[in-house]
Amino acid sequence: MKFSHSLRGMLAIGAFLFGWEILPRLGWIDPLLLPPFSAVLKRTVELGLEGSLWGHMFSSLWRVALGFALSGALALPLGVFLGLFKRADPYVEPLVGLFRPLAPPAWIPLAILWFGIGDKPSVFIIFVGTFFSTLTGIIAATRRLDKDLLMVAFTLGANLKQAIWHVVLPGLMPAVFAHLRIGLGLAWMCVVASEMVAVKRGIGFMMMEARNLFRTEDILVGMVLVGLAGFLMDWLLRTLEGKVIRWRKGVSAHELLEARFSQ
Amino acid sequence: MNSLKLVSVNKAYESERGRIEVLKDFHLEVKEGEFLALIGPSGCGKSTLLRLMAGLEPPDGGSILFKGRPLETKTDGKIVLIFQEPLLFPWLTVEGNIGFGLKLKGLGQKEIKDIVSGLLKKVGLEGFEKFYPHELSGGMRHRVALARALAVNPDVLLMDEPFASVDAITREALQEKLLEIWEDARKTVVFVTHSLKEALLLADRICVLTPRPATVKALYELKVPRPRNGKHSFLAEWEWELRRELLS
Repeated sequence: MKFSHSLRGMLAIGAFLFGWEILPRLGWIDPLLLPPFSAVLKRTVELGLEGSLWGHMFSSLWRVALGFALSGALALPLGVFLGLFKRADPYVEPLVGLFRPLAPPAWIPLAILWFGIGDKPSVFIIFVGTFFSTLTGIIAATRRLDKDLLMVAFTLGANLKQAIWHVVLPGLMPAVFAHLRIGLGLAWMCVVASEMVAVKRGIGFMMMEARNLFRTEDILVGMVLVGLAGFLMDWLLRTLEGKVIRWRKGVSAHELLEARFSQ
Repeated sequence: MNSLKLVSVNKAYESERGRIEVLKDFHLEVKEGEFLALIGPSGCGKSTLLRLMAGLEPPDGGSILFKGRPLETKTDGKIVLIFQEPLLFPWLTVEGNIGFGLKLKGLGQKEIKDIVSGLLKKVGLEGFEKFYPHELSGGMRHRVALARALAVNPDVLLMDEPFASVDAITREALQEKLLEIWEDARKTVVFVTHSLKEALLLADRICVLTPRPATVKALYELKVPRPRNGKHSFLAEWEWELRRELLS
């Protein structure tokens, strides 16, 4: 089952790559605008051997890791707190509501003004781009928690701290992972956007430079790498999720639907 | 001696459709070690009553005494409430669920394991230690909930229609198990039920409540030896009597 699942994934990717390879080669798409996959692959190896690719990749990875870690470290506890103690709501809600719709690129001018050029504005943009989304998500998830299990904990002698630690937090784990995964996707979007203007290194910078020099292959190398890195990090998170939340197995709606409608 | 004593207790809830008085000038004494059944029309405030006795909510007025002293909102597992649904922690195994209260008390792993394995035997769930709640049947989940409550060794067990959601056969098995445990450990039990038969099979005293706001309508003392079963002719008579009392 597991095997055939990943096999199907590879099949889908294979079909996509085949199309990518064949369309420019047949001349249906101008290879200058979309070089075939093999050319991009070749260029990736070249750039990798040449060495400059690693520096860009590492810069982007580092920014994503830092920005994402900072935003998670703040948004998760704050979200739980605001979710549990509604008294802060009237103050927080309008503020978050104002900030959240601001798309991450909207922060770029200010970020450059504040932090100049380099890692800092990029990390800052990842932070603001993921923080408000994670925060609202965790607040909502905390509010959705049932009071019943808390009553059980209290009746068994729990104090407030124990109730939060042993009941609220485990109950929030599925939501935490869901929002971490969303946040990670957002972080990769932010890093590329910010690197196109605010830094002199990173995958986004490499792509912009390639566009100026009309090296379409290099643009695509960047896109492939970002996609791959995002995919791998998401896979890591999902694996971790599977280890932490073993108890969700067999409870989800999709499992019933699958069993019922797949003959 | 009294275990729990409710003196002139009032409780009301504010809802969008106005104020609902659930308990008004409510008096009740629960004796230590007795098995008391609470019976009343649905919605009469039995669950509220149990939450108050469990210290989960404070009364609006009047007082609740536990062993002669005012009941605190933190009961340290001395008074444990068992709910209609088992409400197991889905992220904990059977073992983890039963040991939950012990972990809160800060007991060591070894101690917890000993107590839990004793309880597993008592409720007949040996071999299911590592199972998660969603892997158990309804009846088994109720037994885990019972074991989890017993683990903290409470003085009082409050039970809110604990077996209402299981089938008749499972329910009988659970009732037997409960009686067995009660006779063994002699805890004070306050048991809310809709079933007259269940009350008659289990209880030392049956307390009949009025519709909302609830007050005690009648108290019956059953001096009939256990185990009782359907063959006892007294059951039918009592059932009639109780039914008349409830409907009048």
